[in-house]
Order: sequence, then C-alpha cells, then structure tokens
Amino acid sequence: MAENDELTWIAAARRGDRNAFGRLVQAYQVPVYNLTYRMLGNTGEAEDAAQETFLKAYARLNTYQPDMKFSNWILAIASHHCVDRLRRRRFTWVPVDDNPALEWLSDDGEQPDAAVLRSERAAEIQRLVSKLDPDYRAPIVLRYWYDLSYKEIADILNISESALKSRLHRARLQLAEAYDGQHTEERRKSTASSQAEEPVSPRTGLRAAVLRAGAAQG
Amino acid sequence: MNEFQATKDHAHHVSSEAMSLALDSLLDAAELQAFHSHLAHCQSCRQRWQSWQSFSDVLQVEPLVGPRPGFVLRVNDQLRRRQQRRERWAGGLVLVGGTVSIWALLMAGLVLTVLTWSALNPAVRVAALQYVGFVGQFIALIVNYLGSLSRGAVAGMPVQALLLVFSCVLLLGFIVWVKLIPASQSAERTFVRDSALARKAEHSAANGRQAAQR
Repeated sequence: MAENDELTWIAAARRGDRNAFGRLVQAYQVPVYNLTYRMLGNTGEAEDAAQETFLKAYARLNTYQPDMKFSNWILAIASHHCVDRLRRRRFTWVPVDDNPALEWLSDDGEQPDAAVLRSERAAEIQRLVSKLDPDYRAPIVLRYWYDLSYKEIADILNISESALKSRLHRARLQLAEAYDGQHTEERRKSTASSQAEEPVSPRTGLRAAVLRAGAAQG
Repeated sequence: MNEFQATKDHAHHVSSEAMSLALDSLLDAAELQAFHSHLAHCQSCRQRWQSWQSFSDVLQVEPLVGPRPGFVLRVNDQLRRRQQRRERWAGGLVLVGGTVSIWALLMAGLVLTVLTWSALNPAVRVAALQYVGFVGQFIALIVNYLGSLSRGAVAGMPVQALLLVFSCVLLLGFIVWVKLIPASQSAERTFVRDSALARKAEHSAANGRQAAQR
C-alpha cells in the first residue's frame, strides 16, 4: 500500500466516505486484531476490541496528525483500549484452544501433527503473555510482533523511553519466571506420565495420537 | 554504562536490565564485550541468559494472527448502526429544541408586546391584567371541573370496577409492548438482509464489469 493511497483514504474517510474507511480497515485489520488478541487472550474479546478500535479511530480521524504513522496511531488506540479492558476485567480466563491459529489459520493444507505442534506453541506463547500485568503486555507485543523501535513504542504508549525500558525489563522478568515455571511443570508432567501406564495429560495424548497416525500414514 | 557497570567485574552478576537491553541489541560494543566475557566465566548468568533467549526466540517467530473473514463488513455494519443512532438522537434533539425555542420566542414576543402597550397606554395595562385574570380564572375552573368529575366518577363507580379498568389498561399496554418487540426485531433483520443483498449485487455487478472489460 502506497503512502499516498493511505493519505487519500484518510482524507476521504474524514469527509465521511465509509468505503475509503473500509480500505483502511482492510489494510490494518491484521495488525490491530493481532494486538488485541495478544493482549486480551481470547478471540471473542479480541474481535470486539478490534472493532471498537476502528470505530474510535473513525470518530477521531480529525485528530490524526500525519507526522505519526497511521499504523502507529491506530495501534495506540488499540493498546489503550485493551489496557482499559484488562483493568476493568475481574477474572482473567484464557481458554487454551481458543486460538485463531487453530480456528482459521491452520486451514492451509499442513499436516495434522505440524498443526498440533504449531497450535501448542501458540497456546504456550499466549499463556506466557497472559501472565503479564496489563501495563507490560503492550510493550512486549509491540516489541516482538511489530518490531518497532523504542521511540515508536514509547510514542504509541504515550510514555518516555526510559519508562519503556523499565517496563520491558519488568515484563521480561515476569516472562522469564513464567517460562521457567511452565517448563518445570512440563518436565514434572512428562516424568509422571512416563512412569504411569496411561498418558496423564490429554494434550500429550492428543499429540501422541496424531504423531502415531502420521507415522502410520508415512 | 549505567545498568551495566556491575557486569564489568566478574565478581558481580549480570543485571536483568542489561539482559533486557542485550536482547534488544542496545548495548554498545564495550558493554557487549564485557557482557559476554562475564557469561563465559559465570554459569549461573549463562543459564539465566539462555532462558531469556529461549522465551525471546519463541516470541520472535510467532506470526501475526488476523480476524475471522468478513471483519471489514462487520466493522462497516457497526459504523452504520452507530451513525443511525446518532442521527436519530440528533433529530430528536433538534425537534425538542426547536419546539421549545419557538414557544419561548412566541411567549417572549407576547410578553414584550403586552408590556410595551401597557407602558404606552394605561387602559391597555388594565385590559391586559383583566385578561390575565380571566385566563387564570378559566384554568382554575377547568381544574376544578376535572377534579369534581374524577371525584364523581370515583364516587359513582365501585372499587372493583375501577380496578378492572386499571388492569385492562395495563394488560393492553403490555400486549402492545410485546407486539412491538418482534416487529422491531424483524424490521432490523430485514434491513440487515437487504443491505447484505445490496452489497452482494454490487459486488457481482463490479465483477461483471471487470469481466466485460477483459
């Protein structure tokens, strides 16, 4: 997408052209949805939040200044909206298989065992991110999935670069703790299941069944 | 050198701040050299660094996920609904505001005219006061009449009949309300279906035009 096209669409959307705004939605639906999904952890809430982000963006289009990238501007709206939602939330519940990678991205003809492995990894990542405090999720997601510079992330989150450094550091401390905890738990489970006759974890069982099926086909 | 100062000395462990900066490649050459030379000698820091690198690598390779197909249409529908709601509110406000303003202007004009006339001619003032008195008396009469009417009706009708009338009115209101809900839902469904059909027709027309051009 050329930058001129984007500016043309923004100008037309400001005049009330919903088709032009539709093109902007088309162009930015994946980055915005990915951010809301990574921050909120389930597809239903992520869809709501992504829609709300675009509706807010449409209402505030007149405040958009072209000195900021449009992508960063809309990600700023999305991240603030998600942080608000997370703060309002009383209970955090992230279903493991409520995962877009499983629902509509794995329909690309890949082998079942590869799809299971991929979805397990995606679920593991989502569990890691979901353990972070609300204020630390956005820096991590923007840093890893969008590869933005510190300055860009600080602008999006409306904080100083030193505050961002501190948030990333604290977020990584939490991630390291969660990651180590997760792996210790996995090791404990695999030891227990190897000692027992039947597999203990249904996820392990499913994976093993798929692998067995793959081996039988091969 | 800030957070990394301690790492130059092998006796001190690498700080987690330094590890975070190292993951983002934000240590300068000297800091990076000191960082790695410390790791070469310190097993506990090396293990910590490997763990940080592992989760960082896991996050790094995870692709972006997108919404279910049809997201643009869903956003567009939401936008349309919100605009319609806003327009309805704005229309209602204009109607109420306009009515109140017109009445206020009429009353202000009337009062000003009467005041001007009564200032110019004492006879008009007397007549105006008389009219105000008549209007007041008229309103008082109506209120009194309605009051006596309702008192008479209540006195003339037994309590059971009054309760029956009241229940019938409530029931009727409830039936009308229940009938209105599915009617409004069906209107909404029809509107959504028509919009979808219109979009589909527009899409096929565009495809037809493209095919014709080819």
